[in-house]
Amino acid sequence: MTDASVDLSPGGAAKAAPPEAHQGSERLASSRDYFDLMKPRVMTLVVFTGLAGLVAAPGTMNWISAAIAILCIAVGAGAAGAFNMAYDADIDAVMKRTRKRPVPTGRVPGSEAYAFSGVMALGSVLLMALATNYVAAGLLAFSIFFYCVVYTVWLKRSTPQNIVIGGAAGAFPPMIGWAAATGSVSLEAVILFSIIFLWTPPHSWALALYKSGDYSAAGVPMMPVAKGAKSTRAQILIYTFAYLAASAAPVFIGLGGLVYAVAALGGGALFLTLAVRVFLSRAGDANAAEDELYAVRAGDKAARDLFAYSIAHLAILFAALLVEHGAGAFIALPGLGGA
Amino acid sequence: MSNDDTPRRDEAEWSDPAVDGAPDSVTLSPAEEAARKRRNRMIALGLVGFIALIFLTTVVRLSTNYNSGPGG
Repeated sequence: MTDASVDLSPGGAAKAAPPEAHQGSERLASSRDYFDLMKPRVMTLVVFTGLAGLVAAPGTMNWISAAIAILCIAVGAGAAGAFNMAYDADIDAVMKRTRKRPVPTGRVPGSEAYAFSGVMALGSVLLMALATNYVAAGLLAFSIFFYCVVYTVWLKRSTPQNIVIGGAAGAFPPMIGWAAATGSVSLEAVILFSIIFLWTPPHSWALALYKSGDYSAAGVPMMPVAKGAKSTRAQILIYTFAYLAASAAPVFIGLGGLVYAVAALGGGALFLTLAVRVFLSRAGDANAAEDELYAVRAGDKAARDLFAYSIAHLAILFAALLVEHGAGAFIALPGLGGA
Repeated sequence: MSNDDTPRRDEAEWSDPAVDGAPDSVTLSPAEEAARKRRNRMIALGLVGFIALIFLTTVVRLSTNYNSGPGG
């Protein structure tokens, strides 16, 4: 699909034939190309939140098993990313932000990306089961399945709610980390899950607001493309309230101490300010050219700022948990108990 | 049980690459061969790493179970 039309009919954008650019061209794929298939930037946040979940969980864990569990979470996320890149090669080739990825450029054939993904997924789940427990391995397997099948194959091309529901896949890592350490899923793990789950819509839609032309050209029914920029800005604000409520929850159940409270409330206030700024802006309304990831039209600066800060805020929240539970800096707030 | 409509093996048409002119092998350029060798080395490293992790996991689990004693 190369024109600017968007297929919003039931079933959404049709899956185009995979690119065959590798045929007739030299096969010079390097290990770096295969590493890029695993979406290393996404993997970084996944590893970080997974580690925070593991460290914040009660009890002790052998550090070698813990390191292997984190490696499994990283490789599992990479496997899901590789599947996504293979399946979405047709739309990645259209979008400026993604057209240089290994599959659309033909450096890695789609069939090899699928095989790479399958081997990595299987290896990570098996190793997780051996190193920790079946609950963590099962959650890891389900999160890979959810990202590959539910989000990539089903939701992404068919509904503007794609990243709302699909965001669950990215929310699993702290829950998996928690399960790796304890062998079970508790209220704390569910709250950590809900923080990332509710963070995903404002984060993704902020990007979609200033990259709507890209998504429109590719036929992906992201919220600004399907419902318009104004509706998206309002929904960003609504989800921001829900996200801030979820991010404050660890303080009230004793999972987060003073450091976390400052990060959640102070950082949350700035998050809300930026979300209100997006709501009041005309982000996504203009129709000018788009270039690099952080290069935006003047009217879209508010959305770009929220997108960038949202990543920082999530990282700060989980860093606070790491500092409190991993470095012994937990200071319980009066009347709110302690972990 | 026989079926007269089914062609016998010697009557069926078989595709012969040599006859059809299709190449029966792929010739790689020196750059492609070097890239393939690099990829193969990475696959070998990955396999060795995976085996090492399985071994390490087994040792850790055995020692943990041993240290926890017969009562668990």
